[in-house]
Amino acid sequence: MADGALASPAAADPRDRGGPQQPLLIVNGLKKHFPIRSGVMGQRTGTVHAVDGVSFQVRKGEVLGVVGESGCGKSTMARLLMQILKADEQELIFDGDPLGPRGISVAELRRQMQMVFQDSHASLNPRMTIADCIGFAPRMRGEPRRKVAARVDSLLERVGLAPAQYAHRYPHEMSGGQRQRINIARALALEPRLVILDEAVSALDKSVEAQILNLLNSLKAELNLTYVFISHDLNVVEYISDRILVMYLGRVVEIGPVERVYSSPSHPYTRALLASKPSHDPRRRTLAPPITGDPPNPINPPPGCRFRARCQFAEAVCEHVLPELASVDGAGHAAACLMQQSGSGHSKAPA
Amino acid sequence: MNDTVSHRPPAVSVKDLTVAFERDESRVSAVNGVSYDLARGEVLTVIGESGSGKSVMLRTLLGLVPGHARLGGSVHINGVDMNRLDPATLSAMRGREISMIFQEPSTAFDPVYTIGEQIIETVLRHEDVSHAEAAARAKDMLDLVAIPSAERRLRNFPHEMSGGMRQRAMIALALACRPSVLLADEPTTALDATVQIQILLLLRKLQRELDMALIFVTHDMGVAAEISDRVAVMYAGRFVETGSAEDVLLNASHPYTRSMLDSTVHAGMRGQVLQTIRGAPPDLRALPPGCAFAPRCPAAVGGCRSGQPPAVGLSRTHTAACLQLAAAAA
Repeated sequence: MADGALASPAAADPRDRGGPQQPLLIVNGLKKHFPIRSGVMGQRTGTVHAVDGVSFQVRKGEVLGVVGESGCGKSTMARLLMQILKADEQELIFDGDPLGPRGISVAELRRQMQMVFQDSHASLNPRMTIADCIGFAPRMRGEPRRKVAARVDSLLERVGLAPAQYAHRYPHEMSGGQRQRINIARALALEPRLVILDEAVSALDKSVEAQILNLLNSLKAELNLTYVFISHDLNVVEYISDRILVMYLGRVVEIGPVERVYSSPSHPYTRALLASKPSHDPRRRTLAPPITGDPPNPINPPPGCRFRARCQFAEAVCEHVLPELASVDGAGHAAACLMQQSGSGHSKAPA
Repeated sequence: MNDTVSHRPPAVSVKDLTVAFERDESRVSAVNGVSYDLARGEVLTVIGESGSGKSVMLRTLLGLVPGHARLGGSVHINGVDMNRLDPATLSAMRGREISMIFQEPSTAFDPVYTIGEQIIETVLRHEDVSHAEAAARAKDMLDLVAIPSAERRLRNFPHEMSGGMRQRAMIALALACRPSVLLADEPTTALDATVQIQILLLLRKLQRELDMALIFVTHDMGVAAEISDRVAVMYAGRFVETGSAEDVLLNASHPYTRSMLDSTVHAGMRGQVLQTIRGAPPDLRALPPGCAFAPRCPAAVGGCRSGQPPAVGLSRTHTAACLQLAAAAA
């Protein structure tokens, strides 16, 4: 990679305030309910529990993978973290600074935290050249034009696009993989510390997906980045993540180191999800579906465990107790299932 | 294929199929000479990346190509030459002998009619039955694709169903007249993992029970491994490798197939640098004279850039179109 105007990762990042032990991001009780209104008077007839009390931490320098099926709240959660959507309830602490009047401002949080979206076309302004697009945020922050131009060139080189060839093109002149490189360059323009990648490689062909994953890995090492990587592709998430967070209907059902969760999943939903991966070997095909039915609708979910309608182990107690995350092994692997929690009243719970 | 059925024409027979789109000065060569036969009861999966021509090839079988498309070669379905059919006969074949399911069931259904009405309409269109008989068939079809409370679901509009259920309903619609050939264009790509495997297993079961020829188009190697008897890998409008699912997925021979398998993220690859295919897919408006993969191929030699590589038989079932493999076999 060419030497650019970007800061290279020094041993001690001057932006690092809390030290290595301080999580980069702490999320407590994140909640977003969307009202459903119908009829001429717009009466509230239901509530989508998109994100319903989600708490987790993102450690410095890690990749936290987020998996779950459509409608489970992954993307809503990403937008809440970026403050694109306003949460009903939230407590965010970025490197020790709480979000709010006494800590970090929304503008400063967004400088430190950037996002890359799935649709590389829709997320670029068709009337702006690539260079204008990448340089837009720094210019809005009042950086001088010449400095911004140098930054744009250095970013383009970092993401593998020759500046002389691409800087003055428009998004429609680029392939999907190239556009996703530009989205990554734009996300890095303000030198963020945390990048949220929401299905950032899902729309790409396999050979291009591999290029972008390699790029993300090298950028992370070069620029000291931390990623929250949201995807429905279980192999890709396993490949890139250090820890993994499994969501089901707006709740975290399991979280832990990726090797632990993939080798011994604790929540019945995680087990079913991992068992649903196609086999890649025609001699060892899946013979029966691991679970039946679709993920249920997040509108007005019934009380108790959200997964119980599809769970083969569901018992009466699951209908009225909403399980909270509890440690499985004392080493950072936790699951929200009554079967794991002693004294929960479930017949399979440890004594 | 055994002797008792060999006199029956194959369900699908495609010979030297070419499809090009001409507009203004440019000519986009989407399909550039594809040939295969498929019998009833067989599943052929066509794997390719975007722009490989796999969807165009599939749609051509149904005559679903725009007016400015230039077709070459032939397509026979159950012995009938599809290119010589008048529009009325073609339309009578669609849904009756050959049917298709799509990636997005929400766009394939008409939003203002119920699922039941749409299945009944299809049955009445093709068969000489009463409305009551067609309605009974519609309910049977929903039972067949394992939609619970079929009677009630027939009265649902498409938007009242979840994604997985809508995909089941589309399969029910496609199979309502018991076609012998089913075409599937990435039907599980938009579905969640736990639903995708259910739909794949359902398709596999119905294909066997109804003795259909199924052509399944996907970009996902894992999906191909789950559903295929035979696999064809498509690149720049040509089949570059064909064979049984085990031939192609476990003993890939063509450099493109091998590169694609190598660059796919599998389980247990943490910490590795992923293999990538250098360069970009070819411009279909200006295909190179030789092998279309040569500019990206790690093994390409001078001869690869001058002529089309011949298809080399690697075993009774397995072929690959590569000059290097031809040289090794000779």
